Amino acid sequence: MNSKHLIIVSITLVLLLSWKSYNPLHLNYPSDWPAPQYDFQNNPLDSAKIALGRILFYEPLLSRDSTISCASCHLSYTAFTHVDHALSHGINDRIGRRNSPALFNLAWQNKMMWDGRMNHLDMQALAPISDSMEMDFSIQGVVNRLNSTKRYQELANKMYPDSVFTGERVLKALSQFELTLISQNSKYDKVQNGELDFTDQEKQGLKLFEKHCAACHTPPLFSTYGFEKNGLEQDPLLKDEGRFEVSGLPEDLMKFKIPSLRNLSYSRPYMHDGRFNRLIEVIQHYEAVPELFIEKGMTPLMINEHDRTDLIAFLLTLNDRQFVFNQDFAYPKDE
Amino acid sequence: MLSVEVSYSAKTPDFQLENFKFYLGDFCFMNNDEVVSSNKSAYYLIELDSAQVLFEIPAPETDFNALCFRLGIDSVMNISGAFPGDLDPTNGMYWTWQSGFINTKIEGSIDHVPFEFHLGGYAFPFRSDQLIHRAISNEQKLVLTINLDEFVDELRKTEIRRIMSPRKEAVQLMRALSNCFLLDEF
Repeated sequence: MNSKHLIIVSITLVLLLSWKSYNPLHLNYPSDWPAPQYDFQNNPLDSAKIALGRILFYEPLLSRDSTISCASCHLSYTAFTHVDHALSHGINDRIGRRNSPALFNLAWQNKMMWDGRMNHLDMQALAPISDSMEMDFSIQGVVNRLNSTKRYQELANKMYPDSVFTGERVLKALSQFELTLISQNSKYDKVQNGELDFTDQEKQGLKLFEKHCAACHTPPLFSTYGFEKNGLEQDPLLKDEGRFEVSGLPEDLMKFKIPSLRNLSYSRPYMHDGRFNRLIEVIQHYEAVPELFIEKGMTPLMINEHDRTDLIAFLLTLNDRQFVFNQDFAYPKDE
Repeated sequence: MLSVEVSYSAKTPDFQLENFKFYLGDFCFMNNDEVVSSNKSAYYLIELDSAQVLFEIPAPETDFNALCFRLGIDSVMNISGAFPGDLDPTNGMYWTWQSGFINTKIEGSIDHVPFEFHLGGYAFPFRSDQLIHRAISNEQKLVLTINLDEFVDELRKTEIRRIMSPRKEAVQLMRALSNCFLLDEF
């Protein structure tokens, strides 16, 4: 074999070997869902980074006094929110301004948090890490701390050629874990793929839902993830102005990110400040603001007690028990 | 590769600089208004004190007679997530309370009054990054001097001494700063 052949064979072998070891993970989701917003090219999924992200998500070292992790306000068993808390508490029991959002289907969102202040999933973690009411720390502090902690030094050694954590690496690892939190196995989803049928009550509820709710809470994600006013009066103590606080545009006053309606049974209380404990209160709020619907060219929600029950019955079909009990999302034991 | 040397000068009295950090990037070489080489999305975080900072940028082999570069980070980078190196958020040049790079941090005192400007903003109408365009010739070294006297003159016209969010004054100051960049060649 002459040298030219040797070169061709070597190049072919190298290409074959690198193809075999390149195993990009892809998210699994129903084929009729829209494409994710997240740009995976900048952060291709791999199982080691997902595992690292999961460890970091549950790691209280990310807070100044090492007591608060992401999971402190985003628990897997309650759809990654802080159930039974209108406003969450962070370091030293300090209380924040807003209700902890449930986390799932994040690949389809690019404006994070109730007012969309973070424009990319990768950067979102900077906000709670730095907020004095939440983790009261800094990304510089986190990185320095991880780089001087033995078990993280060992992880960095395995994962990165230069064996160090950087801000970018911490943030992208967290994103990778968060991207895997997909909720797609509710009864509603099973009806869509023919596995199950709705009850008559649920079917009635769906009709009401389509008429009055689906414009903002659009299937299959049950949100457009846009920003809307929902007629809530401003809380006089919290004085939250919503998206206006980020954009400065007067039309954004009291607009909040439309939450998905999946997993409602696991994620009360409801609204940006958790003011409603029960779904019936949410529905009654919307019944009390017909002008909101009229403004949007929709039919106001004027329904009777039967309708309310039907609507709630439908909403409960969006609960995904498989998601909240998925052990791949829970605290990583023995990692 | 082309050497770039950056420094600042400020002869104006009663002006003291404590912190001066900014991004330069998107270096682009032109010849008779045609782009001959560009290094898009490469950004350099420059931290200036009394000394100069040296760094290198890729340069074309062919002739060039103009240079274009950006003071600050362009808007697409601002919505594209986390980046390594000089863009890493541990550099303290990315806001933590909302998304967006801080294009320039300039802090000090003027007429014995402290000032603190964190100049950012990537979205209309407060997009503050600035494109700078200068004529140069094929040389081996670029010397960028930022003559802050002009910036201080601009500052003395206003009462603002603190900017921590995207706003029109941030855009104005970034524009004033971009006018301060002088290019000498060796």
